[in-house]
Amino acid sequence: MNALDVVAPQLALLVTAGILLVLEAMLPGKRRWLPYVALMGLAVSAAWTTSWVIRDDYQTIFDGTFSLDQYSVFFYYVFAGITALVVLSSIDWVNTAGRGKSEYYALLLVSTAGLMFLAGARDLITIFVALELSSIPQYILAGWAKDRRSSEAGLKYLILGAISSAILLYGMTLLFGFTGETVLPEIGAALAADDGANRALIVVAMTMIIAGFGFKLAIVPFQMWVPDVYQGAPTPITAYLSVGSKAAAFAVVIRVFFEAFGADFVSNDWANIFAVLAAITMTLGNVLALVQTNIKRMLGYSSVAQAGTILIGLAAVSASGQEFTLAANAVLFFLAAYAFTNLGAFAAIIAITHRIGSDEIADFAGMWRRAPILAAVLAFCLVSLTGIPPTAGFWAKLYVFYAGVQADLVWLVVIGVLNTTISAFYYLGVVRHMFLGEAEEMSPVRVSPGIGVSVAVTAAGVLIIGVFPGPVLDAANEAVQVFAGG
Amino acid sequence: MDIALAVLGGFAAAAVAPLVVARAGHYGGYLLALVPLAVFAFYLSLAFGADDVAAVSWTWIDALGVDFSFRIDGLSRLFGLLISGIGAIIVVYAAGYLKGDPKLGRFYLFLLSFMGAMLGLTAADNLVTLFVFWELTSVTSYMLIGYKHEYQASRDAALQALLVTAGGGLAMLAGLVLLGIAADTQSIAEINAAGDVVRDHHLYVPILVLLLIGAATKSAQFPFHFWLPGAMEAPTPVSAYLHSATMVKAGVFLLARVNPSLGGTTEWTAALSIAGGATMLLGAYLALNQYDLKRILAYTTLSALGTLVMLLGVGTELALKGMVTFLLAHALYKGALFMMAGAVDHEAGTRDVRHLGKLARAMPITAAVAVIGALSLGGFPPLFSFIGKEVLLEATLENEWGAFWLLLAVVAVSSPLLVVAAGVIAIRPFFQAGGEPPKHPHEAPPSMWAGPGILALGSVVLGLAPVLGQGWLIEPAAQAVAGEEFEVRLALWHGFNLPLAVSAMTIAAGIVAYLFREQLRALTWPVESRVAGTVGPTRGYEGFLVGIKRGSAWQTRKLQHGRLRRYVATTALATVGLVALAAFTNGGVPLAFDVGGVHFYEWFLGALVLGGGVLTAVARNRFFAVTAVGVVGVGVALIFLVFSAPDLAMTQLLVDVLTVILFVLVFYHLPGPMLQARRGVLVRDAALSLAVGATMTLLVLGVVHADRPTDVSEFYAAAAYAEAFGRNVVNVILVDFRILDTLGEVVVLGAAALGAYALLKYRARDPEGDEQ
Repeated sequence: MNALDVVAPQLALLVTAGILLVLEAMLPGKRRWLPYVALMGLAVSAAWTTSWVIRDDYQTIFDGTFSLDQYSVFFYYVFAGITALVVLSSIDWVNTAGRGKSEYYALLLVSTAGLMFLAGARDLITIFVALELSSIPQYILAGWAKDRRSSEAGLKYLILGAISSAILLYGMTLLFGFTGETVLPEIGAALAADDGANRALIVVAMTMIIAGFGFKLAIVPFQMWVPDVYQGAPTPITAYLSVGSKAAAFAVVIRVFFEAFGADFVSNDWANIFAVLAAITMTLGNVLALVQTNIKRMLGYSSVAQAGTILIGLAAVSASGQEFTLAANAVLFFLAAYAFTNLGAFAAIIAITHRIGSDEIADFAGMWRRAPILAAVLAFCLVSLTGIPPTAGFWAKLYVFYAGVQADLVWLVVIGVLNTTISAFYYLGVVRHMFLGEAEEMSPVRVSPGIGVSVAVTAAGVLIIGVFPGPVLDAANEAVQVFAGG
Repeated sequence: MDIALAVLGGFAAAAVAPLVVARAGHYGGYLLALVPLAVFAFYLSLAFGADDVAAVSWTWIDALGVDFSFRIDGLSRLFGLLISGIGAIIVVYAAGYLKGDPKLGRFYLFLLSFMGAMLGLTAADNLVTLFVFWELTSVTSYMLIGYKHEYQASRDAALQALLVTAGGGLAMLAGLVLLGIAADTQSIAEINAAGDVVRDHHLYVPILVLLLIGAATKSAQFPFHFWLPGAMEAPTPVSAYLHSATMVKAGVFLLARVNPSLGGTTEWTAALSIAGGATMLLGAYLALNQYDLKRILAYTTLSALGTLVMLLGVGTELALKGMVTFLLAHALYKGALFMMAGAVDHEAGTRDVRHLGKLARAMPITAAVAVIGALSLGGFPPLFSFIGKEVLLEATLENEWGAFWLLLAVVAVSSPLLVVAAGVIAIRPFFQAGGEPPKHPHEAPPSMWAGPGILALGSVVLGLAPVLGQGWLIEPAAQAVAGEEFEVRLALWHGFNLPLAVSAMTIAAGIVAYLFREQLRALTWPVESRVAGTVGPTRGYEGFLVGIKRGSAWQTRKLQHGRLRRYVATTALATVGLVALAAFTNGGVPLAFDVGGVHFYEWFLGALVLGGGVLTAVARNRFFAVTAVGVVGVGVALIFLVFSAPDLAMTQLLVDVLTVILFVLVFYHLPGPMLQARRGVLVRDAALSLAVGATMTLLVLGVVHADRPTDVSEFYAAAAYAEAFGRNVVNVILVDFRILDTLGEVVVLGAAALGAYALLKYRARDPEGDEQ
């Protein structure tokens, strides 16, 4: 029973998903409350997580393959929050699409459960299964809309995802073939005991694992799917992909590093790979975002660029070794700040595009007249994405840059700063359109309660973290202390 | 606490400004002016208070050592008084200038926010706090410059100013982070106390360069000067406030602030003197061929900013004294001149001096302000800026370093040019005949001449009696910049000496140049217009924008074409490349290649799988291809069987058969024959497949070479019965040891089935949906 108790936050979501399906089958017609059932499930999950925080009885189960610790708990909250906001933002869209409501929310919850498993998984097989659990519903949801673009998005996402999974599996197999272990700390022990004779093989395995995760992290050169899928998928799902699966992938990569690849002779390779990928990813993402005319596509490239910035943190983690938790802390904080910011931007975009029926940036011209609050929130979130104070995004960038400098990656930080400057062009370009452009139509944009809550919560989050980043930083710090000295 | 209240009061006032204006109209402006006035009074009380320094601090982010802290010393006080004092004047002035403008509330919102940001910037004691306010000034000024957003030029100027200053600010952020690490503290006061540590640090040069970029973009130093004239699209109160008295001086402030820790080195002196000197000369020259009052003022402002930076570079006591004096003098007269230009524009309908004339009769008070301001600009006695120029000359002459003769030459050339500008501003529109302004001019309302009048009066009073400002205002500021104690004495009359002689000569030369200005313009304009049209930073900026857009459009075509086939190819290629790189940089993978013990049936199985693969690739018929895939699957299953894993072989066989059946079902619905790719594509794909296959083969050989680890299957075989009481090891693994993973897999399959069901169900129900 204990094991069930430990994975209860995930089980709560899976059970809720089942309830959603059964309820719709039993009570056809009355479907307005389906999203609220999903929200209740998320609330139960979060409450259960909180009960573990109160119990303060962190532990690993299933022979060390799954761990409930401060680190996974941090992400449980992040994922539950993300999904709740996505559910709220989805209500309008799902009602308009008018089909498969219960399935939509159920798949979303199943995927979230997968993300939560990922945060706690510390065994190669568990990681893989959790990854698939979170991914397959995403493939389906990306193709959920009725148009061709959405179907194409779903198919592309699926095929490229399958290839990445294959690469990941190859890497894992190699690692297992070499160490004979699947549990991360045991792999770490085996690597530490090695005399370095098989160094090349280990680095190759590591590279393939990074390449496999690179798909989910959306880093160059595994980012090709991002713009097509971001543009084609239903916007709430795009929002979900941009923060949820990305955060989970980073969560796993950090854990894999600290628990398995921390041995001195590999950590430098790890740092070099990430440093180079960070530089390329930031630059390519930002430069490509510059010419985009579609806001979802632009945010797709922007999310690639942001992933590049987070990679600076990963490079810093590994450049300085396992005792250096400051950079991991920076990454976690960045992910939380980014989640709020990007979800806020997407919530505003969902509300606006739902009304104007277009996601071309040019059609956002003069939006402050039609929807002053939405325009202000979107502008605020874009400012946060740029990294200008007083927003959450500013501290996130500052913290990552700081970690980079501390890890002697000054050149990388300078590239990061240059990229931030480039990103200002396109983020603030949208702001300029909304505030300085002229609208062709003046009818106000009406906001439904679900989106309204979602917009308000995210905007408040970006601002509050922007002014008082302390609590989130402390939480992130506590989470990464799990790895300190490990 | 009271410090924080004073500093942040602007933001509070900004929040209520739209409400106040909505209620009281432009009279609300007079009410709002009370806020900067109160701040002004507070700074005055600090100046005459008992303590030299007032400080307050809260912990902001513990982990990074970031405090939210203010520390008001002599330099902060000087800036605080300027920001709040001129701020109050501008708020009143704007009430007259923008009377009846429906966006007045929003204007005050941004203007007062800007004031708060500026006060925070100049009072900050923590590097990050400073940066936060620095960027806030960039953002709020963006809103202010783009205030007249219905004009394209206004929007472009706003964006350009933002990109240059915010971009430079980000470079500065990197510099500040490095500075904090070099000094091991983020408190500016502590950093300045540990100046030698910073100067000797190996990061000193990067820090200096990054901070210089930040300062140079904000204070419009060459080669980043081009945004400032463009920003003149802003409403005049904004130009008067941001672009003469406050924001553009933020860069100067930053350099002055870090002078005790970064200044005094050869790099510092060289970089600042050159940048400052070049800007000073360039600004004074570029004003020559302008006819728009505001643009003339903008270029002379450039020149003044260059002067300030140059003096900071020289860095002697005398130079710093001159810097502070000149800063105060410039804020007074340039603010007045900008507001004067606004009044002229407001009353006569144009700022083009060619269309203005004889305004002195209609606008006597404005004319008086213009004359005092212009005399200050030209550096005539007995005005305060004359004293500033005397000290500037003295500081330039006193130094013995050879390059200072160059600086003296810069001063000697730019001063007469400024006299020309002064003449164009004051004499042409107000006293000469000619010109047909679009509106019949009247004197501006009191709200628009009172403020500039006060500033102009300040220039006169401080010029006649500099002692009024020296002990409490200029001396503490100069000491704060220098980081050491010294006495400041200012006087209008220094006796007959070299600076006076130079000053007299430059003024005389300026008057001559003014008289021959048309000839000068005829001489220089053809060259200038051609140079500006081909090179120049503005072109550079535009070229940069266009280049970036072209570059990314090209990349989009090459990298983001939307074709799945190439995406897959890129993914595969990137993986192979990364793996090869990782293997080679680590000394290569040792391989085991020993085919001695391979049985003949193993050869056969290998050939079977390989043949199936090749047939799949070359098949021209879908069913044939699928069958070939099936052959591969069967081959793999047989391999499992040979290596005594019958259960695995069984599973593989089942999955494979199912896959083939599914393929056949799907193909049944696909229209037309299989598409054939072009030969080039086929060759490329073949090469790619071979590369991937070769990589995987080599890796497998590498793994075989490595030491074999302990066998997990033995562990499971032993533990299955002992710990889990099951005889079927595979079953035990699935439902006991790896129960979580099994659960996950079950849910995965369930989710996939659910999704497929939902998609099929609703697709069938939506005939109007897509055909895919």
